[in-house]
Amino acid sequence: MNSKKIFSAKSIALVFVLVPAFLSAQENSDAPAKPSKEFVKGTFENGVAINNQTVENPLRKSLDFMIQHRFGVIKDEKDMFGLFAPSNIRMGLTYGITKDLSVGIGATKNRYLFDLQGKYIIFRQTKKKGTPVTATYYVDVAKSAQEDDNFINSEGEFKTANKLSYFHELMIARKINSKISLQLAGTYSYFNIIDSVYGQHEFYGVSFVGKYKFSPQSSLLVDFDYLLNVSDIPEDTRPQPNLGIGYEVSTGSHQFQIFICLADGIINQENRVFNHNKLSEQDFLLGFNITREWGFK
Amino acid sequence: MKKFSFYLPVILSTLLIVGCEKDYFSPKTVEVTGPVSFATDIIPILTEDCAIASCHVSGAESPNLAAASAFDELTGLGYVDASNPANSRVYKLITGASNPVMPPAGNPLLSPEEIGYILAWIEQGAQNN
Repeated sequence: MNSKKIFSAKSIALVFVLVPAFLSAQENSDAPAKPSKEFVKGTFENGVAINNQTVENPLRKSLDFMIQHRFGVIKDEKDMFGLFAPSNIRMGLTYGITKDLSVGIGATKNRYLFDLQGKYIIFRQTKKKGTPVTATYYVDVAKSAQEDDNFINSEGEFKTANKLSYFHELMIARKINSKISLQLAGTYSYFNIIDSVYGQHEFYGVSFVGKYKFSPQSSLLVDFDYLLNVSDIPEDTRPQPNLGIGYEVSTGSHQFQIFICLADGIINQENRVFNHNKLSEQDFLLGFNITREWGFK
Repeated sequence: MKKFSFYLPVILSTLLIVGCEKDYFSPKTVEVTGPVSFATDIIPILTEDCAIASCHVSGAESPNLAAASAFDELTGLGYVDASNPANSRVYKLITGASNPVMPPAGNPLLSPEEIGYILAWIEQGAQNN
């Protein structure tokens, strides 16, 4: 690997976009005290909606414990509609360092992935005139714990860095009213090593999350993500868009989501780039996310 | 805390974009041109790598790939697409084109030769020969 290529142009561009945003946020926080703005709360009930991140973070000095589970594709009764099929699971912890910043760790069964995550709320939607949306940046790096032999490159070499993959996302969300919240995001996934049939390491995409809250504790969730630069990948390998539809019940410190979706990757770069379950073939699978939050104030 | 909340995202985003490589995996299959027999070429692969305790055997994960049932399970449960061999579910699982990659994490993957034999068997009509 040529060292000049260590920083990809897209990654550097991303930093140029994000760092000023952080600087701007810091400048604002150091400014003389202004009348406090009243921010919109509860755009989403959780930091995760089905297979996507949301603009939400855990409360300051709070710890979220999350279990995410995906069964097999719903095919027929022979494997109990996917319940007896190979499944994927992730267990993770996320800690709210400040009201805007959280860090998290997790482990995922498929591909033996360990992940480190960070999420920063750049600015928040205000109740009155001011900021119409909430913007949040999310980043994660995943490292596979699979044996080194699984990461030999086409030149017969093993590099530790080839066990790494990355994901960046910039989310913009608006709570339209007490029932409806919508979120749009741009995503960037990067794999240090990938099958040559993909012919690329960088994947750009967009995602959508919608919430319709129909009772004080219950909501309908929809999420969708789509990669923009995969048209050159052969059709039988091409990553497929992911759609999820689910039900969420939230009791404040507990959230439970049960849903059907197409991707079983859980980690964001995995469920975008390695999803081959097709909407046209209705390759849906059953999944759930459970979150418990503890406060340490 | 304010300084911390400022520097941590910057440090995180910097850390998470360094160390980028642009490598491709070594080829996962080699071309097998000769005739392939299910009994003598494919069954030994399945027996050694798939039909092992608590994996693809009777009473464990589907499909049951023990020698007596492997052919019926692979062809009857839709794991083989002889009209488009590279699109076969079994081929996509062992090459990592579909999740979960098989054999699962923690176990050695099939060798390019083994994958080549399975693809060639499908290309030759997925016969019980």
